[in-house]
Amino acid sequence: MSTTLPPDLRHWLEHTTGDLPDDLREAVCDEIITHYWFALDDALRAGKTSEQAHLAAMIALGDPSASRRMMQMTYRATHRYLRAAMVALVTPLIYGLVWVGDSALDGWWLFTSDLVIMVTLVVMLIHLKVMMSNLFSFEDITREARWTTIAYVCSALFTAFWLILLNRYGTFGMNRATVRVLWIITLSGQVAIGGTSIWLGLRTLRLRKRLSAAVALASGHILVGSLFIIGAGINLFFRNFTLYRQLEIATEGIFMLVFAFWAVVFMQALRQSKFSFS
Amino acid sequence: MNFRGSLPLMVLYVLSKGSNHGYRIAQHIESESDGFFNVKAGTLYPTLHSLEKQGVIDSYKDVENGREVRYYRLTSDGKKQLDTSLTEWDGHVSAVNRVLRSLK
Repeated sequence: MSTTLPPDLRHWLEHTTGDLPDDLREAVCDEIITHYWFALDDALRAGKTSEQAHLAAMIALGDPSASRRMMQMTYRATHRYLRAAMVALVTPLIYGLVWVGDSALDGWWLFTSDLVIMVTLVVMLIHLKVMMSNLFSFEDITREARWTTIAYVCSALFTAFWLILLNRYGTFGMNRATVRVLWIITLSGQVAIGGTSIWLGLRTLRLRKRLSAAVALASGHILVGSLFIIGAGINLFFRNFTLYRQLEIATEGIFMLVFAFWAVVFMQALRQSKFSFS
Repeated sequence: MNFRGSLPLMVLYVLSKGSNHGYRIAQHIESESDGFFNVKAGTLYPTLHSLEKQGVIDSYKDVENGREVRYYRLTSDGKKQLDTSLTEWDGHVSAVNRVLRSLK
Protein backbone atom coordinates (compact mmCIF):
# COMPACT_ATOMS: atom_id res chain seq x y z
CA MET A 1 0.00 0.00 0.00
CA SER A 2 1.37 3.43 -0.91
CA THR A 3 2.49 5.63 1.99
CA THR A 4 1.13 8.78 0.29
CA LEU A 5 -2.50 7.81 0.78
CA PRO A 6 -4.82 10.07 2.77
CA PRO A 7 -5.11 8.76 6.35
CA ASP A 8 -8.86 8.03 6.16
CA LEU A 9 -8.40 6.09 2.88
CA ARG A 10 -5.61 4.10 4.51
CA HIS A 11 -7.86 3.45 7.50
CA TRP A 12 -10.74 2.40 5.21
CA LEU A 13 -8.48 -0.09 3.42
CA GLU A 14 -7.06 -1.47 6.65
CA HIS A 15 -10.53 -1.93 8.09
CA THR A 16 -12.02 -3.65 5.04
CA THR A 17 -9.09 -5.74 3.79
CA GLY A 18 -7.02 -6.10 6.97
CA ASP A 19 -7.38 -9.86 7.35
CA LEU A 20 -7.15 -10.92 3.71
CA PRO A 21 -4.07 -12.85 2.56
CA ASP A 22 -1.28 -10.44 1.51
CA ASP A 23 -1.37 -11.04 -2.27
CA LEU A 24 -5.14 -10.84 -2.41
CA ARG A 25 -5.17 -7.76 -0.20
CA GLU A 26 -2.68 -5.98 -2.40
CA ALA A 27 -4.69 -6.69 -5.56
CA VAL A 28 -7.98 -5.57 -3.99
CA CYS A 29 -6.40 -2.43 -2.46
CA ASP A 30 -4.80 -1.45 -5.78
CA GLU A 31 -8.18 -1.45 -7.50
CA ILE A 32 -9.90 0.44 -4.71
CA ILE A 33 -7.14 3.05 -4.58
CA THR A 34 -7.48 3.54 -8.36
CA HIS A 35 -11.24 3.83 -7.87
CA TYR A 36 -10.61 6.54 -5.26
CA TRP A 37 -8.29 8.52 -7.59
CA PHE A 38 -10.80 8.37 -10.47
CA ALA A 39 -13.59 9.55 -8.17
CA LEU A 40 -11.36 12.33 -6.85
CA ASP A 41 -10.46 13.48 -10.40
CA ASP A 42 -14.14 13.52 -11.44
CA ALA A 43 -15.11 15.54 -8.37
CA LEU A 44 -12.30 18.05 -8.92
CA ARG A 45 -13.33 18.39 -12.58
CA ALA A 46 -16.88 19.04 -11.41
CA GLY A 47 -15.56 22.12 -9.57
CA LYS A 48 -15.39 20.80 -6.01
CA THR A 49 -12.68 21.90 -3.62
CA SER A 50 -9.99 19.36 -2.79
CA GLU A 51 -11.63 18.64 0.58
CA GLN A 52 -15.08 18.17 -0.96
CA ALA A 53 -13.57 16.02 -3.72
CA HIS A 54 -11.81 13.83 -1.17
CA LEU A 55 -15.06 13.42 0.74
CA ALA A 56 -16.95 12.52 -2.46
CA ALA A 57 -14.24 9.97 -3.36
CA MET A 58 -14.45 8.42 0.12
CA ILE A 59 -18.25 8.18 -0.20
CA ALA A 60 -17.74 6.39 -3.54
CA LEU A 61 -15.90 3.63 -1.68
CA GLY A 62 -18.91 2.85 0.49
CA ASP A 63 -19.56 2.10 4.14
CA PRO A 64 -16.43 0.40 5.57
CA SER A 65 -18.34 -2.10 7.73
CA ALA A 66 -20.65 -3.21 4.90
CA SER A 67 -17.66 -3.42 2.54
CA ARG A 68 -15.74 -5.50 5.08
CA ARG A 69 -18.68 -7.93 5.37
CA MET A 70 -18.91 -8.22 1.59
CA MET A 71 -15.17 -8.88 1.31
CA GLN A 72 -15.23 -11.45 4.09
CA MET A 73 -18.08 -13.24 2.34
CA THR A 74 -16.32 -13.21 -1.01
CA TYR A 75 -12.64 -13.71 -0.23
CA ARG A 76 -12.60 -15.55 3.09
CA ALA A 77 -14.86 -18.41 2.00
CA THR A 78 -11.88 -20.77 1.77
CA HIS A 79 -11.27 -20.50 5.53
CA ARG A 80 -14.88 -21.36 6.28
CA TYR A 81 -14.79 -24.39 3.99
CA LEU A 82 -11.53 -25.61 5.51
CA ARG A 83 -12.99 -25.25 9.01
CA ALA A 84 -16.15 -27.09 7.93
CA ALA A 85 -14.08 -29.89 6.37
CA MET A 86 -12.09 -30.24 9.59
CA VAL A 87 -15.26 -30.29 11.71
CA ALA A 88 -16.78 -32.92 9.40
CA LEU A 89 -13.74 -35.11 10.06
CA VAL A 90 -14.23 -34.94 13.85
CA THR A 91 -16.97 -37.60 13.85
CA PRO A 92 -15.00 -40.25 11.89
CA LEU A 93 -11.98 -39.44 14.03
CA ILE A 94 -13.86 -39.98 17.28
CA TYR A 95 -15.41 -43.24 16.07
CA GLY A 96 -11.99 -44.33 14.78
CA LEU A 97 -10.37 -43.65 18.16
CA VAL A 98 -13.07 -45.60 19.96
CA TRP A 99 -12.64 -48.55 17.59
CA VAL A 100 -8.86 -48.51 17.93
CA GLY A 101 -9.10 -48.19 21.71
CA ASP A 102 -11.80 -50.91 21.80
CA SER A 103 -13.84 -48.85 24.23
CA ALA A 104 -16.91 -50.39 25.73
CA LEU A 105 -20.10 -48.87 24.37
CA ASP A 106 -21.43 -47.31 27.52
CA GLY A 107 -24.14 -44.72 27.95
CA TRP A 108 -21.82 -41.73 28.18
CA TRP A 109 -20.25 -42.69 24.89
CA LEU A 110 -23.72 -42.67 23.29
CA PHE A 111 -24.33 -39.25 24.79
CA THR A 112 -20.96 -37.91 23.56
CA SER A 113 -21.38 -39.31 20.06
CA ASP A 114 -24.89 -37.84 19.76
CA LEU A 115 -23.52 -34.45 20.84
CA VAL A 116 -20.59 -34.65 18.42
CA ILE A 117 -22.87 -35.53 15.53
CA MET A 118 -25.23 -32.72 16.49
CA VAL A 119 -22.43 -30.13 16.67
CA THR A 120 -20.92 -31.24 13.37
CA LEU A 121 -24.34 -31.14 11.72
CA VAL A 122 -25.01 -27.62 13.03
CA VAL A 123 -21.59 -26.36 11.92
CA MET A 124 -22.06 -27.93 8.50
CA LEU A 125 -25.53 -26.45 8.18
CA ILE A 126 -24.18 -22.96 8.87
CA HIS A 127 -21.50 -23.44 6.24
CA LEU A 128 -23.94 -24.83 3.72
CA LYS A 129 -25.93 -21.63 4.03
CA VAL A 130 -22.81 -19.67 3.14
CA MET A 131 -22.04 -22.00 0.26
CA MET A 132 -25.60 -21.65 -0.99
CA SER A 133 -24.91 -18.23 -2.45
CA ASN A 134 -21.97 -19.03 -4.67
CA LEU A 135 -21.53 -22.76 -5.19
CA PHE A 136 -24.45 -25.03 -4.42
CA SER A 137 -28.03 -24.39 -3.59
CA PHE A 138 -28.62 -26.20 -0.34
CA GLU A 139 -31.77 -24.39 0.61
CA ASP A 140 -33.67 -27.59 -0.22
CA ILE A 141 -32.19 -29.48 2.72
CA THR A 142 -32.01 -26.79 5.40
CA ARG A 143 -35.32 -27.83 6.98
CA GLU A 144 -34.47 -31.55 6.94
CA ALA A 145 -31.00 -30.94 8.36
CA ARG A 146 -32.54 -28.79 11.11
CA TRP A 147 -34.98 -31.54 12.13
CA THR A 148 -32.25 -34.19 12.02
CA THR A 149 -30.19 -31.99 14.35
CA ILE A 150 -33.15 -31.52 16.68
CA ALA A 151 -33.64 -35.31 16.77
CA TYR A 152 -29.99 -35.75 17.80
CA VAL A 153 -30.23 -33.02 20.42
CA CYS A 154 -33.35 -34.54 21.98
CA SER A 155 -31.81 -38.01 21.87
CA ALA A 156 -28.57 -36.77 23.47
CA LEU A 157 -30.43 -34.86 26.19
CA PHE A 158 -32.61 -37.84 26.95
CA THR A 159 -29.57 -40.17 27.10
CA ALA A 160 -27.96 -37.76 29.58
CA PHE A 161 -31.16 -37.64 31.64
CA TRP A 162 -31.40 -41.44 31.72
CA LEU A 163 -27.74 -41.82 32.63
CA ILE A 164 -28.12 -39.40 35.53
CA LEU A 165 -31.16 -41.37 36.77
CA LEU A 166 -29.30 -44.68 36.45
CA ASN A 167 -26.25 -43.35 38.28
CA ARG A 168 -28.39 -42.00 41.08
CA TYR A 169 -30.95 -44.74 41.58
CA GLY A 170 -29.79 -47.77 39.54
CA THR A 171 -32.30 -49.87 37.59
CA PHE A 172 -33.52 -51.51 40.81
CA GLY A 173 -34.61 -48.18 42.20
CA MET A 174 -37.09 -47.69 39.38
CA ASN A 175 -40.42 -49.38 39.00
CA ARG A 176 -41.21 -51.31 35.82
CA ALA A 177 -43.51 -48.64 34.49
CA THR A 178 -40.77 -45.99 34.71
CA VAL A 179 -38.25 -48.25 32.96
CA ARG A 180 -40.81 -48.97 30.27
CA VAL A 181 -41.51 -45.28 29.70
CA LEU A 182 -37.78 -44.50 29.48
CA TRP A 183 -37.30 -47.40 27.08
CA ILE A 184 -40.16 -46.21 24.85
CA ILE A 185 -38.69 -42.69 24.79
CA THR A 186 -35.31 -44.16 23.75
CA LEU A 187 -36.96 -46.09 20.92
CA SER A 188 -38.82 -42.96 19.84
CA GLY A 189 -35.50 -41.09 19.74
CA GLN A 190 -34.02 -43.79 17.54
CA VAL A 191 -37.00 -43.69 15.19
CA ALA A 192 -36.84 -39.86 15.09
CA ILE A 193 -33.13 -39.89 14.21
CA GLY A 194 -33.70 -42.67 11.67
CA GLY A 195 -36.70 -40.93 10.08
CA THR A 196 -35.08 -37.51 9.83
CA SER A 197 -31.83 -39.02 8.48
CA ILE A 198 -33.76 -40.84 5.74
CA TRP A 199 -35.68 -37.64 4.98
CA LEU A 200 -32.40 -35.69 4.76
CA GLY A 201 -30.94 -38.39 2.50
CA LEU A 202 -33.93 -38.37 0.15
CA ARG A 203 -33.83 -34.59 -0.16
CA THR A 204 -30.04 -34.62 -0.71
CA LEU A 205 -30.64 -37.04 -3.58
CA ARG A 206 -32.54 -34.26 -5.34
CA LEU A 207 -29.35 -32.19 -5.49
CA ARG A 208 -27.51 -34.73 -7.64
CA LYS A 209 -27.67 -32.52 -10.74
CA ARG A 210 -25.82 -29.75 -8.91
CA LEU A 211 -23.61 -31.54 -6.42
CA SER A 212 -21.44 -34.41 -7.61
CA ALA A 213 -21.22 -35.98 -4.13
CA ALA A 214 -24.99 -35.82 -3.55
CA VAL A 215 -25.70 -39.49 -4.36
CA ALA A 216 -23.00 -40.75 -2.01
CA LEU A 217 -24.14 -38.40 0.75
CA ALA A 218 -27.79 -39.30 0.24
CA SER A 219 -27.09 -43.05 0.25
CA GLY A 220 -25.12 -42.65 3.48
CA HIS A 221 -27.88 -40.76 5.26
CA ILE A 222 -30.57 -43.15 4.05
CA LEU A 223 -28.51 -46.16 5.19
CA VAL A 224 -27.79 -44.62 8.58
CA GLY A 225 -31.46 -43.73 9.02
CA SER A 226 -32.58 -47.24 8.02
CA LEU A 227 -30.14 -48.85 10.46
CA PHE A 228 -31.44 -46.67 13.29
CA ILE A 229 -34.99 -47.77 12.57
CA ILE A 230 -33.97 -51.44 12.20
CA GLY A 231 -32.13 -51.06 15.52
CA ALA A 232 -35.29 -49.73 17.14
CA GLY A 233 -37.20 -52.72 15.66
CA ILE A 234 -34.66 -55.20 17.08
CA ASN A 235 -34.92 -53.50 20.46
CA LEU A 236 -38.69 -53.60 20.35
CA PHE A 237 -39.36 -57.12 19.08
CA PHE A 238 -36.27 -59.30 19.56
CA ARG A 239 -34.27 -57.81 22.42
CA ASN A 240 -31.17 -59.30 20.77
CA PHE A 241 -28.22 -57.32 22.13
CA THR A 242 -25.53 -59.02 19.98
CA LEU A 243 -27.43 -58.30 16.78
CA TYR A 244 -28.15 -54.77 18.00
CA ARG A 245 -24.46 -54.21 18.77
CA GLN A 246 -23.44 -55.42 15.30
CA LEU A 247 -25.96 -53.05 13.81
CA GLU A 248 -24.59 -50.22 15.91
CA ILE A 249 -21.04 -50.89 14.63
CA ALA A 250 -22.36 -50.87 11.05
CA THR A 251 -24.14 -47.56 11.74
CA GLU A 252 -20.95 -46.03 13.12
CA GLY A 253 -19.02 -47.23 10.04
CA ILE A 254 -21.53 -45.59 7.72
CA PHE A 255 -21.53 -42.44 9.83
CA MET A 256 -17.76 -42.28 9.37
CA LEU A 257 -18.21 -42.49 5.62
CA VAL A 258 -21.03 -39.92 5.56
CA PHE A 259 -19.04 -37.35 7.49
CA ALA A 260 -15.90 -38.10 5.47
CA PHE A 261 -17.99 -37.37 2.37
CA TRP A 262 -19.13 -34.07 3.88
CA ALA A 263 -15.46 -33.23 4.35
CA VAL A 264 -14.83 -34.05 0.67
CA VAL A 265 -17.70 -31.75 -0.35
CA PHE A 266 -16.24 -28.88 1.68
CA MET A 267 -12.77 -29.52 0.27
CA GLN A 268 -14.31 -29.44 -3.21
CA ALA A 269 -15.94 -26.10 -2.33
CA LEU A 270 -12.64 -24.84 -0.92
CA ARG A 271 -10.86 -25.65 -4.18
CA GLN A 272 -13.50 -23.83 -6.21
CA SER A 273 -13.59 -20.77 -3.95
CA LYS A 274 -9.89 -19.93 -4.06
CA PHE A 275 -9.09 -16.50 -5.49
CA SER A 276 -6.07 -15.70 -7.58
CA PHE A 277 -5.09 -12.58 -9.49
CA SER A 278 -2.87 -12.49 -12.51
CA MET B 1 -32.51 -0.37 -1.45
CA ASN B 2 -30.70 -3.72 -1.52
CA PHE B 3 -29.82 -4.44 -5.14
CA ARG B 4 -26.91 -6.81 -4.61
CA GLY B 5 -28.80 -9.62 -6.29
CA SER B 6 -29.17 -7.65 -9.52
CA LEU B 7 -25.67 -6.13 -9.49
CA PRO B 8 -23.92 -9.04 -11.28
CA LEU B 9 -26.53 -8.86 -14.05
CA MET B 10 -26.03 -5.08 -14.43
CA VAL B 11 -22.25 -5.52 -14.47
CA LEU B 12 -22.49 -8.19 -17.18
CA TYR B 13 -24.80 -5.96 -19.19
CA VAL B 14 -22.43 -2.95 -18.96
CA LEU B 15 -19.51 -5.16 -20.01
CA SER B 16 -21.51 -6.46 -23.00
CA LYS B 17 -21.15 -2.91 -24.39
CA GLY B 18 -17.36 -3.15 -24.19
CA SER B 19 -14.55 -3.76 -21.72
CA ASN B 20 -14.26 -1.29 -18.87
CA HIS B 21 -12.71 -0.77 -15.43
CA GLY B 22 -14.48 -0.79 -12.09
CA TYR B 23 -14.95 2.95 -11.66
CA ARG B 24 -16.47 3.42 -15.12
CA ILE B 25 -18.73 0.39 -14.61
CA ALA B 26 -20.07 1.98 -11.41
CA GLN B 27 -20.49 5.33 -13.20
CA HIS B 28 -22.32 3.69 -16.07
CA ILE B 29 -24.76 1.90 -13.77
CA GLU B 30 -25.40 5.11 -11.83
CA SER B 31 -25.97 7.28 -14.90
CA GLU B 32 -28.12 4.72 -16.76
CA SER B 33 -30.31 4.30 -13.69
CA ASP B 34 -30.62 8.11 -13.31
CA GLY B 35 -28.79 7.92 -10.02
CA PHE B 36 -31.07 5.24 -8.54
CA PHE B 37 -28.22 2.74 -8.16
CA ASN B 38 -25.13 4.13 -6.49
CA VAL B 39 -22.63 1.27 -6.66
CA LYS B 40 -19.87 1.55 -4.08
CA ALA B 41 -16.35 0.22 -4.56
CA GLY B 42 -16.66 -2.02 -1.49
CA THR B 43 -19.52 -3.89 -3.17
CA LEU B 44 -18.41 -3.66 -6.78
CA TYR B 45 -14.94 -5.23 -6.61
CA PRO B 46 -15.94 -8.37 -4.69
CA THR B 47 -18.73 -8.79 -7.27
CA LEU B 48 -16.33 -8.32 -10.19
CA HIS B 49 -13.86 -10.79 -8.68
CA SER B 50 -16.60 -13.35 -8.07
CA LEU B 51 -17.74 -13.05 -11.68
CA GLU B 52 -14.15 -13.44 -12.83
CA LYS B 53 -13.76 -16.57 -10.73
CA GLN B 54 -16.92 -17.98 -12.27
CA GLY B 55 -15.33 -17.43 -15.69
CA VAL B 56 -18.04 -15.12 -17.01
CA ILE B 57 -15.66 -12.16 -17.21
CA ASP B 58 -11.89 -11.89 -17.43
CA SER B 59 -9.48 -9.04 -16.84
CA TYR B 60 -6.33 -7.44 -18.17
CA LYS B 61 -4.23 -4.48 -17.12
CA ASP B 62 -3.98 -1.27 -19.12
CA VAL B 63 -3.05 2.36 -18.50
CA GLU B 64 -5.51 5.27 -18.30
CA ASN B 65 -4.51 8.82 -17.36
CA GLY B 66 -1.09 7.53 -16.37
CA ARG B 67 -2.58 4.98 -13.93
CA GLU B 68 -2.42 1.23 -14.27
CA VAL B 69 -6.01 -0.01 -14.31
CA ARG B 70 -7.58 -3.47 -14.39
CA TYR B 71 -10.09 -3.72 -17.23
CA TYR B 72 -12.84 -6.31 -17.28
CA ARG B 73 -14.46 -7.88 -20.32
CA LEU B 74 -17.19 -10.43 -20.98
CA THR B 75 -16.13 -13.98 -21.92
CA SER B 76 -18.13 -16.24 -24.26
CA ASP B 77 -19.55 -18.00 -21.17
CA GLY B 78 -20.45 -14.56 -19.85
CA LYS B 79 -22.38 -13.72 -23.03
CA LYS B 80 -24.37 -16.95 -22.67
CA GLN B 81 -25.02 -16.27 -19.00
CA LEU B 82 -26.11 -12.71 -19.74
CA ASP B 83 -28.65 -13.94 -22.33
CA THR B 84 -30.05 -16.52 -19.90
CA SER B 85 -30.11 -14.06 -16.99
CA LEU B 86 -31.83 -11.36 -19.07
CA THR B 87 -34.55 -13.80 -20.13
CA GLU B 88 -35.03 -14.91 -16.52
CA TRP B 89 -35.04 -11.30 -15.32
CA ASP B 90 -37.68 -10.26 -17.92
CA GLY B 91 -39.83 -13.23 -16.92
CA HIS B 92 -39.43 -12.39 -13.23
CA VAL B 93 -40.25 -8.69 -13.65
CA SER B 94 -43.27 -9.27 -15.88
CA ALA B 95 -44.63 -11.94 -13.51
CA VAL B 96 -44.26 -9.63 -10.49
CA ASN B 97 -45.90 -6.79 -12.44
CA ARG B 98 -48.83 -9.02 -13.40
CA VAL B 99 -49.36 -9.96 -9.75
CA LEU B 100 -49.10 -6.33 -8.56
CA ARG B 101 -51.50 -5.08 -11.22
CA SER B 102 -53.98 -7.83 -10.42
CA LEU B 103 -54.06 -6.55 -6.81
CA LYS B 104 -54.99 -2.98 -7.83
